[in-house]
Amino acid sequence: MDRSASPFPEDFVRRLEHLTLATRAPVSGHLRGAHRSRRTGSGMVFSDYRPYVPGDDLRNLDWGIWMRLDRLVLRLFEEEADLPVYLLLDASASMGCGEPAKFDFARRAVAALAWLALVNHDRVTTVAWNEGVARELPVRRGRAALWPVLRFLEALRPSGGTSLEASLRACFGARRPRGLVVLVSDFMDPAGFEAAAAWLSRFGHELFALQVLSPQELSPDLPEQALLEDAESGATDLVRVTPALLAAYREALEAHGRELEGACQRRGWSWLRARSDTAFDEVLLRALREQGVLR
Amino acid sequence: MSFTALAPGLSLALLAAVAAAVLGLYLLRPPPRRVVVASRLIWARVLARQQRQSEPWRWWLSLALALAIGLALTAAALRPEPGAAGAPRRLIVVLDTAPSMATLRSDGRSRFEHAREALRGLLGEGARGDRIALVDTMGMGGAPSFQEASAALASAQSLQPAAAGRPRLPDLAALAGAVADTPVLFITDGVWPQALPADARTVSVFEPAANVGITAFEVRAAATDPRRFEAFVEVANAGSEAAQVRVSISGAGREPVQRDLTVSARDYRAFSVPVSGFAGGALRATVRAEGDAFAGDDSAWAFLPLNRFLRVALVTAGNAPLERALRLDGRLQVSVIAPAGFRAREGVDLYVFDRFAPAEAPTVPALLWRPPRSPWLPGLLPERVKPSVENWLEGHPVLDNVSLRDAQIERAAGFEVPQGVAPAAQSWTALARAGDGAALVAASASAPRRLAVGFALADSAFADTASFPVLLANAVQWLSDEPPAVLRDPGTVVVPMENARIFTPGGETPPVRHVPGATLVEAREATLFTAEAEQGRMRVIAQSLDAARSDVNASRLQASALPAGRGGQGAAPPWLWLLALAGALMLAEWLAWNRRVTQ
Repeated sequence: MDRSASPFPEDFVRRLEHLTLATRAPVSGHLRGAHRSRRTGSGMVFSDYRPYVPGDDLRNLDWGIWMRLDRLVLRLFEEEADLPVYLLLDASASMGCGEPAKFDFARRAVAALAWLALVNHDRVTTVAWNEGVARELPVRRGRAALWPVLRFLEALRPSGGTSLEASLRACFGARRPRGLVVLVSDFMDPAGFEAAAAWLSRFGHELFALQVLSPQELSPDLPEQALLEDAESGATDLVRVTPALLAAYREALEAHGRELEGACQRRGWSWLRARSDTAFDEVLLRALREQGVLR
Repeated sequence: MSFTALAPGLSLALLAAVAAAVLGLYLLRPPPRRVVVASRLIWARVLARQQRQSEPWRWWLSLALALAIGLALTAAALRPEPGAAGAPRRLIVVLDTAPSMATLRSDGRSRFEHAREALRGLLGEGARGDRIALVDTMGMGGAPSFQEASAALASAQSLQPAAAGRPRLPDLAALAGAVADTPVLFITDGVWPQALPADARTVSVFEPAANVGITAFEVRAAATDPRRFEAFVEVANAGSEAAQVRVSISGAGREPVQRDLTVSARDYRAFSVPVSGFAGGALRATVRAEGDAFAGDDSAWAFLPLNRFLRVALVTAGNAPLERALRLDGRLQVSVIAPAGFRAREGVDLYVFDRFAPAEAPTVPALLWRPPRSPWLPGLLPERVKPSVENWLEGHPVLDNVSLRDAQIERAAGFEVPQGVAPAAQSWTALARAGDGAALVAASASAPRRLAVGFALADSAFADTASFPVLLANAVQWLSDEPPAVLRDPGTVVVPMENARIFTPGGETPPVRHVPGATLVEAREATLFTAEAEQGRMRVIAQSLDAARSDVNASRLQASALPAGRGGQGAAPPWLWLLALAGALMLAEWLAWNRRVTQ
């Protein structure tokens, strides 16, 4: 693989290893090797007793208690389950903007999250979306699955418009196991986020939303008079740039971020904004440690 | 508004070109740069709220500001002046010619020279056809009228600061041809007794100056000894620092008297100097101080009486009351001569004839008591018995504080002095008349003076009345003493003597003008004139010892640092205002555009 123009340079894997070590200490969270299900089941770790009711698996009856007390008591075990992790990468044209491009940062972040999931034996599904599902890499498990994931990400090119709700409907229309959805996007969806979030929450998934913005979006450096062209639709706006206008833009951007954060918080989800010119591993560490993505 | 740098047509064309250039630059602005953004989502929200609301009027505001700035700068370069474009400018210039304008400024030139230079600069900036009315504050330039600027400048060249007097605000409304909105410009140092008009433009030529001047100089007899004279001198310092002053009093007969003294800032010093050692005549006081900038008050004049000892010859066969009364006057040196041995002689200042009159008129003044008939005296009327004095001229110096009602005259001879004839038409004047109209006391004011009394002391009880010594002293004073010097302001001095010859202290005869009843002579500085005519001799002191004149720093204006006297209160020219306007508009443009306070 030629790494010269790749979003995953030579030291990328080393940084992923370092990320693995750095996240080992706080063991808890979704992305861990032995994920404990809330369901009692066929695991090895004893959890509790409860009275037997018809229909329970007879294999879990505690025959010793029955012998001594003549009562049917069921032994409960915590079920150990691998976590379905859905990595949804925004591949719309707007993600190709910025310097450095938001899409490169997003791909690295998705790759890193995939690695963390794979090393913890979780089932990773990687989806590229724009106005719908653009491409999908089926479920992968195990460390060896990293390379297919990297190849999948590397082959992606940002294009098309943005429709999060349509993409989610296409992705989760076929029933998938409940799991963790990682949504990496700039969230510049004209239809907004609320409808898509409402639809996703119906399936009980948990969501970690990572908003990626470029430095040019956060602090636009524009001439006095500029013709703004939308990277996705090609529509233009003639603006006379003033400090007041820039201040209003920044305020509107912050308001947009607050809308996203509010929609996530209402559903118990996590949200994080990242600049595309920051290191992806720093962002992920912050997300894992501070934002509680890994509880 | 008219422009002085270019013709009106060219000026308007230039302004139009600037406006077109500014408009063209606005229309030729480069197209906006195309910038690809990730999404219009955020921008659309902002633009919907702000951009479309403010953009159109901001563009027009910016264009208006740019046009105003360009036009203001261009108009300032064209040197505008108030007034309708193309119309001759009308301006009233009030040029201060008060004495204080002669004060020297720090560059050695007077305030008036600076004022003239300012006037030259002002009129030189004007356009052809301007009409200027030049008015001076001392009324020296005659009746003002609107004239060409060059003629006004020529008039200003002929003006000088007045030697004395106070400036007065000219009656501008009465100026011929003036209209209500004609601008008025004052070029002055602001040393005015009243406030300047609030709506007038003022060019100040004021600069604080050091000045020490004489504000009082008077010679008077000592109260205890009428033969001893003192000079009273008062010196004022109008400067802001104490001054070392030397006062000199000079005159004939001895070396000048000098006094050195220190006068505090804005203070006065007064002192007396004995001047009896001087021979009679003109005394001049001068003051010298370092850096003195105003010379108009540095000298003053006074007159010391010539004859402080009067030699009186009493010609009588014996008249003890008269002789005793004369000898009681300390100023008189009395000698008694018998009528039989009388002959005219030198060394007599005044004759007193008692019942005697020489055949020829004496060359010195004479007082005659009951003279006999004589050709140089008025004719005598038949003797009257117990005449009563019915009326007399109480205002005449001889009869000042004298009453003749109690004279109890036994016999008297009246003089032939006709009634109803003007005093100027005859040489003798009746000072007192009897009830039948006969003149009992007659006087001749022609030099030498004479006073004739129609009764003898021995024929009346007049010598026993209180009025006798008073009349005698008045008569001696009137006959022998010179009248007090007449005080006049410098400038055109009016000497109240017809066809008089005028002499300066140096004996020169200045040019004079003769008018009915007076003689006019010009005095540019303080001086003392001696006027002689048929009716006698008169001393005229032309000086103005006015403390207000010496206070050359009592200005209502701020000091002007401009050498040419331009500027001052409200004197900013229109082009300066236009530059200030352009600066203010640039600031507004910067705030509206670069700082973008409008968005």
